[in-house]
Amino acid sequence: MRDDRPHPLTHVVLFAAAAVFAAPLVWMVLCSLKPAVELTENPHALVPSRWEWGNYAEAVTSMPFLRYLRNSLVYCLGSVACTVFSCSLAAYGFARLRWRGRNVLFAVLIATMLLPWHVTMIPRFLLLRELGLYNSLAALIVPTLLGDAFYIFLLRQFFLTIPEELSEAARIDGLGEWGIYRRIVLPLSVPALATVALFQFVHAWNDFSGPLLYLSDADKFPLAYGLEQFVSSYSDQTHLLLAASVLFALPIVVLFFFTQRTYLRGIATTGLKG
Amino acid sequence: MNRIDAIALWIVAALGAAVLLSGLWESPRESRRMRGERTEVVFWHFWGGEDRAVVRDVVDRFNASQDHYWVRDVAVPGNNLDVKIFLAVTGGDPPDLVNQDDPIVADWARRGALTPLDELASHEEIEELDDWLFPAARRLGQYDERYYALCNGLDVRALYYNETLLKQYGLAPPRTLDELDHIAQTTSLVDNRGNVERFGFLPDARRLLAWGAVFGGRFYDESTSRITADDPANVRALDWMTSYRDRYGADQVAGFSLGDQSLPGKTFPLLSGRYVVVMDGQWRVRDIAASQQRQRTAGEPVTEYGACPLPPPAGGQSEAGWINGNFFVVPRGAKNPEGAWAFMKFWSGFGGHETEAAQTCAAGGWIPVASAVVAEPEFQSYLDRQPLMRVFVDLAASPRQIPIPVIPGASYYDRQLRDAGQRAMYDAGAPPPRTLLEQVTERVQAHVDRTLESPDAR
Repeated sequence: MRDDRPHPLTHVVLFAAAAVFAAPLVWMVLCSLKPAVELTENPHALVPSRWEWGNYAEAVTSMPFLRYLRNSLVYCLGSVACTVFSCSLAAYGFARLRWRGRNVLFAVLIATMLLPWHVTMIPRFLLLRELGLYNSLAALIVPTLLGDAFYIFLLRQFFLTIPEELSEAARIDGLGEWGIYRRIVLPLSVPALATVALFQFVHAWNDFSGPLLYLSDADKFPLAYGLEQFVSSYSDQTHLLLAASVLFALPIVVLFFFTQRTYLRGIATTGLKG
Repeated sequence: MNRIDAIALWIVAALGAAVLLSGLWESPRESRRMRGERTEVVFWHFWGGEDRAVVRDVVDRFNASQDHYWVRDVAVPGNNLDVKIFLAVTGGDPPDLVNQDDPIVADWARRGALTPLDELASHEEIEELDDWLFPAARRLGQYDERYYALCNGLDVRALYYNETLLKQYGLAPPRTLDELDHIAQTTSLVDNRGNVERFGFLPDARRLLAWGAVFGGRFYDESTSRITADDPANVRALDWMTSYRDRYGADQVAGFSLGDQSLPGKTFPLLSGRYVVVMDGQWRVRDIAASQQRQRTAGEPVTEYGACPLPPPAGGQSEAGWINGNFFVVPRGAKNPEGAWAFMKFWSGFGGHETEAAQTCAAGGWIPVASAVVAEPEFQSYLDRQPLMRVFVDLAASPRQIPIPVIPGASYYDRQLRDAGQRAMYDAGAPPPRTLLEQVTERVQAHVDRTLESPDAR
């Protein structure tokens, strides 16, 4: 009988690799519990001399944490909704409809991924200012309504795997393209859509440069940007920065924990897996 | 409903609930509302951490002090202010006032991105400013014989030393370079394998500007507008720095120094016992105070520390060194430059605001830009409480404290000098100091010439 259990050495290697990846996170958590002066005096000590749980309370109260959290969540949820809607619609057009110039336009779309973000920074800034969106969270959310080349590519690949016969049958039953998109393709694409949603959520959650450039009112800053408030020329509050960073990273860890199965299935079925 | 749909629904519901809850228990608003019929002054600055509360206090005191303007401060901490400003200026929506500390005055002024202060202040005020400011603060704000920036705080370097350890070795704080070298040799610890465990002293490879000034060197000749990095005194300074590499080995020096830079935040290696004497700025005074307080609380013996000016070699300059500082600039296109000027004066202390400035500097542990502010009773009382600061404040007044020259390409010059110092100290096969500095002179001069010939030169 074949033994399906992995070799013990596999576990050792995987454990070692996991330890390497986990080390920075463990270091961050331990340092977030050190007294401030210990980080200045003896940063190499791994375990705090005194467990300073108050760092967490101070980190949350010394910046408008809840306001920043709300801004982050509004940005994340808004941009996820806009991204999933716009990218799935565009991907449907590229995957399921036949029209002149489709492949050329798709190639152009893919080519836009080669453009560095800095190239479009100033035109985008001017455009958003003209639209009256500068210094509002809408400046971060509205552009996601225009799609993203990577997500469109990812969803197109998934949509191509859905049998065409399903669409044909739906057409015979009198369903239009919008109906096929909404009632056939989308329900069958949940893993891919969840993957895109998760990618975008993490991107928006971690986004620093967007808020830096398009927001200038402290009341509108999201958490990722708010963390910088602990940095200064003379007096970094590294202990508070690390405590706030742990709180900042926690939702992403929890989110990934709950969605990893869906996420991995999405990766496996959209051709992203190597 | 399948499992995936259920999970997605729960996540969306949880996040939605979080939005609602964070809205219900909102933190206080960051920006305060403007009161009365005033015009707003939008002020971008890089102050975060503990300094942020001090900035808030200055802004609040200013807003409470008069009826015309209302300052709204926006913190852009970290190293992100430049890109935000350029985008805002390009987009035609700049702030009214920016606090900076990078050597950008000449570059930005030359490109027409800054409002000269003589457009905001009267002729008499500008003349008064000349006499009022410390020489270093004056230099930091001027380009092409015009003020483009008003300095509001100086950053001064001196030597910090572990007094307890020096006493154990029977040594006094260094007054000459020879004494410093002697301390370095006497107090450094090397283990059996030849690895340095503690440096008595090690010149910071990035700070040739400081030691060049101490050796009597000049980095720019204003009369000929030429770069003079290869001034013989600067070469002697780099020779002296390189002597530490020759004594301990390039690998030891590089490994130890780069180890310092890999430490989190802005860790002070003097406190961890890696050095006995180290060069650093006045902001370390509060780190030392915090460390001593921790020792007292823990019932440990309290380590004594001291500070002294960089000691000169024979024929060198006393009270010399590298200085930089924080300064205000008003971007072109600012909507309320008059309000910005009023706030600049309030913060720096110019125009009869010395008392307010003394209060600000004492609260932040910052070095004033004028002797009139230093002389204020509140600041003197602060110096009595923090005697180590007095060394830095005295040095701030010295005309031999030099900033990186305020010329186009100053940032490039600064990087080139740091690179030359690091090559000299970390690379045993590097060309001799004279060659390295000749290369810096040639490169930077070419860069400056190209910059001045470019179409956007004014």
